[in-house]
Amino acid sequence: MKIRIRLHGRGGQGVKTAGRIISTACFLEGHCAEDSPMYGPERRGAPVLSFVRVSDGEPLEERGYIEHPDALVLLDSSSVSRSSPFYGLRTDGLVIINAPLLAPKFAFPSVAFDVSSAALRVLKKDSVSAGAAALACKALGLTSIESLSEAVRMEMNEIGLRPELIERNVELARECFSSVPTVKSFVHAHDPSPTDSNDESSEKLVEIPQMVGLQPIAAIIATGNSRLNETGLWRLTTPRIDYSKCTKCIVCFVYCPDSCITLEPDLTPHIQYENCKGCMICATECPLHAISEERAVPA
Amino acid sequence: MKKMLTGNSSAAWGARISDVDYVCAYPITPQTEIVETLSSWVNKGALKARFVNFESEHSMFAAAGAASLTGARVFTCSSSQGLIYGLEMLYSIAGWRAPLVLVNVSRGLGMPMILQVEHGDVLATRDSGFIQLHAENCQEVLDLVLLGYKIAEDSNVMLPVVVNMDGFVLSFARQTVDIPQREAVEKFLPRYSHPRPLLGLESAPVTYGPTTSDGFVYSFYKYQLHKASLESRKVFQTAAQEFFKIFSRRHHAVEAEMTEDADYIFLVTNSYSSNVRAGVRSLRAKGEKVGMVKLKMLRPFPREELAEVLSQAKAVAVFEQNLAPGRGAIIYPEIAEALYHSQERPDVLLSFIGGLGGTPLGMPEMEYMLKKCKEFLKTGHGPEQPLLLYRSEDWESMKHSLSKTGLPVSREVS
Amino acid sequence: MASNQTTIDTAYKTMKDTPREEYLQPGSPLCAGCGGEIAVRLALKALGPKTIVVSVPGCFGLLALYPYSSIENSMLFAPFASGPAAAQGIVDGIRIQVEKRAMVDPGSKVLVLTGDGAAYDIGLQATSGAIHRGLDFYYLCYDNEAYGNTGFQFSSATPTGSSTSTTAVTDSSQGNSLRKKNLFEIWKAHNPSYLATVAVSKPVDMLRKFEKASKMSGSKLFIAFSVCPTGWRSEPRETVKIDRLAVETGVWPLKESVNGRVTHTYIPRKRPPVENYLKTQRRFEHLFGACGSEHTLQEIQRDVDEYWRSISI
Repeated sequence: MKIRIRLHGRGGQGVKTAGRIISTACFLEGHCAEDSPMYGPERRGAPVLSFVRVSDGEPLEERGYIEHPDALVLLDSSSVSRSSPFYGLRTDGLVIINAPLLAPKFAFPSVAFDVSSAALRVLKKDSVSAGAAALACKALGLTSIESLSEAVRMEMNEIGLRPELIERNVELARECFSSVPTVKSFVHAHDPSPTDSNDESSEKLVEIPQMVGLQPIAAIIATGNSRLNETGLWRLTTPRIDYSKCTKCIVCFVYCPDSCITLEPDLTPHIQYENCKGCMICATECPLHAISEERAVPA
Repeated sequence: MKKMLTGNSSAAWGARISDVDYVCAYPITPQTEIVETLSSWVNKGALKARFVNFESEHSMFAAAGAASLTGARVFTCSSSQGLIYGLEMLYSIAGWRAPLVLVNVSRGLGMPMILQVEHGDVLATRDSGFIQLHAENCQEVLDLVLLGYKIAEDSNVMLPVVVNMDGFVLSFARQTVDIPQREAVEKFLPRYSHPRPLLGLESAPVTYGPTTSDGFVYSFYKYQLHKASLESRKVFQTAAQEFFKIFSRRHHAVEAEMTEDADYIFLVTNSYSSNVRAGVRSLRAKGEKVGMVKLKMLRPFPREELAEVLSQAKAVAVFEQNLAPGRGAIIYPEIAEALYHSQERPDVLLSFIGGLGGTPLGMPEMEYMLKKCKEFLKTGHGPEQPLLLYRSEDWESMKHSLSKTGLPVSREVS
Repeated sequence: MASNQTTIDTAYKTMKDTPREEYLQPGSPLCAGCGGEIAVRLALKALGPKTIVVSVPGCFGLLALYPYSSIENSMLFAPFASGPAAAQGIVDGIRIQVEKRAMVDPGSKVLVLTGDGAAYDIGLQATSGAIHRGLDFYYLCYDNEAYGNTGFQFSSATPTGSSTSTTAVTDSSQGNSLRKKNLFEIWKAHNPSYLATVAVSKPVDMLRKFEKASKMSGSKLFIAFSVCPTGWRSEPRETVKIDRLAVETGVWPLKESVNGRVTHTYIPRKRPPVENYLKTQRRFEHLFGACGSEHTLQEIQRDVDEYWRSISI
């Protein structure tokens, strides 16, 4: 058995912790495992990844980001529409997703469980890393429930969670573990994992040219072009202006960190949703409470 | 105009006739005379430039690189510990693709602290992206500053240049130096103009030095930097031809002398090239078929030229004034690599280290290196490398010093 | 030392005078609810389009994350300790070309933008040199009281009692035991022409300070209180609210120094207890509750009280 897992979620959601729990559980199970987070400048709310490789015998002889996973773990269903996570997934790869059972159908086999609802009930907050890791351990047949529980304890202790909160995370993990099946066909069909043949073709390599003029210099002259970054995708909550209450005091405009509120000549504010990260400072500061909060609707 | 000039004065004159706009200064022995000279010229109005005393080499290099991006012609200089203190900045200057000339006056790196020459300082910058030109005498110091600006500011290069001279041996030694006329220099070195200067113009904004988290971006720009550095070999050749036409002095990346029929070649850089030349002549007078190769350009590394001039020799002795602990000499493996794919290459390639902290290089060292090469050729067995050139009288002095330290005297010393 | 801003000739009378022009553009990679980003945005509004920004490693290095840049202005990204020195090169490079080459004066302003790690720690020497040389530049330190970009490690701007990832809370430790370094006084000792603390919850005060500074030559320095939801573990939506609490509780005094003369531009008359401010951030959560440290809390309050007593308002 040799499995490559790629986890998708958002900054602050516990994508790295979920990967570490899977990996530690496999280690406790006696497997060979490796986990790593994507390391970059990504911030809270931005799409992030982490990676786990597991083998039950041979040593792991691959490093770096996983481009061709055997399984995906999606920590929230919104990542499906927001970041198209399926790239590189093998055609019979498994999608493990935190979503209600009646989640949208994918072109891939899938296992779904509403970890968020369980987390809200057990932890009183939408904290899904332990639950999502449990889904992966069970669906892929990687570990026993004991190894998983211990891994949750170890990793949650590592990030400084209080003991009572750790135990509730264990409870959440056990519930998730028991709620999904092990996908036998997947596990068996998968030994040993194939490598994408395209990956081995030397035709994929090019010789890059020597550039001339300013091009060989790391420079940007289209300054201010970051509005092309759709940071609106980070949004977990959406501010909405109730224009019947708005007095055009421009407080929201002044305090928006990202210049996402524009003013008409008569000072009517407009929120620019392509880039609004949903920090909700505008809603907090609006003296007339004219800006309400809308939960971002998962796709 | 011919004058008696120290190496330091020659560097200052190089900056002056290049009509530099901005001089960034911080004192360190044995470089200080350069900035003292420039400071007095700027104060007297002999050089119209802005001269600023910085609080460290790190800041000095930062200002130098940033000023170059605004379109100013920038000169700066340092040495030894100072160069290394600012080393981080050197990578950034090259990464900004900011052309300027930095004169380094080579000096050993502590500990033990020393003021005399060793090339460990300038060679530590070899992978920063700076083009490296090393001078044999005071005239070359001046010439290479001029050539330095010419190459650095070429639109296909846009890289900083470090011109190296040996501390004390050149920095404080006066020699006859021909200072070219301003008009001739203006012909050779037109005004620098940056294609997109950092001026804060609303009409032409620019961001230099962005961050990236993508390997393909980082790889691309690093590789472009490498290609530009390689390009500077051609630019150097063309510039040197033009330089010869105007100033009647020749410069080559690799300079071979008496090598046509030579069985043994001594390879050398910087000021001790002169000692090696004298030694080669003496050995020739005794009937030895010896020659020498002087490396003037260290970055980009002129591997093809080297392979060509060394291929016919039976043995090559590589003399270096640096010591990389655990490796040996720094340039030696680069020469071996340059020869690796040659059909014809010397049977023997030996690494010698000497002149560290200014220990001498004379006939004893030349004879010794030749002897070792011959032994190796004859027996097919080489010594453990590198071989440290260390005279017996120095060993006696060392033992004497050791006996004064208060440390117990070991059997080897007593 | 009382506030006397009512008599000042200023374009900024109320929040409605906040310039409409945006130089900081949407889509930066900075965290949602970043307080420092508001400070930069307001600063650029006040300084205008001819400002060249020098940025160094730290969160705001990401304002140029290839191939995007988040500000309209020209920008140079320089190594950690070198911001003010690189600014010197830009100022001097332009000046000499204007003097010597008859270049048209582009009227540029240079703004060094660093976090507290660069300002209080690794770049202090370069800043000292630049102010001492009388460099005509602006420096905006977005002070979020730790090395935020590397995951919130201790810096010498970290206040007493704050947990960071390198001043952990344990049985024997209540987070950071050192006092925050007094950068205002250190910078002031260099005699800059203008020096001020700013807070985004007082935007008019902030805009006026930049306005005032831009009429002066020499070194003009700003330390901006910068709420960091990620590091402080606070709610992004509460950024400005927390900023306001810091000002009102007296934790963050608003003041300026003009040629060495210090004036407080806002006096918090009531000064509610510092708990009101500290409780909004989980970096201080260990100070409260059963295992909380009454002692550390008292120390923080005492320091604030002592400060306001010492300036004898």
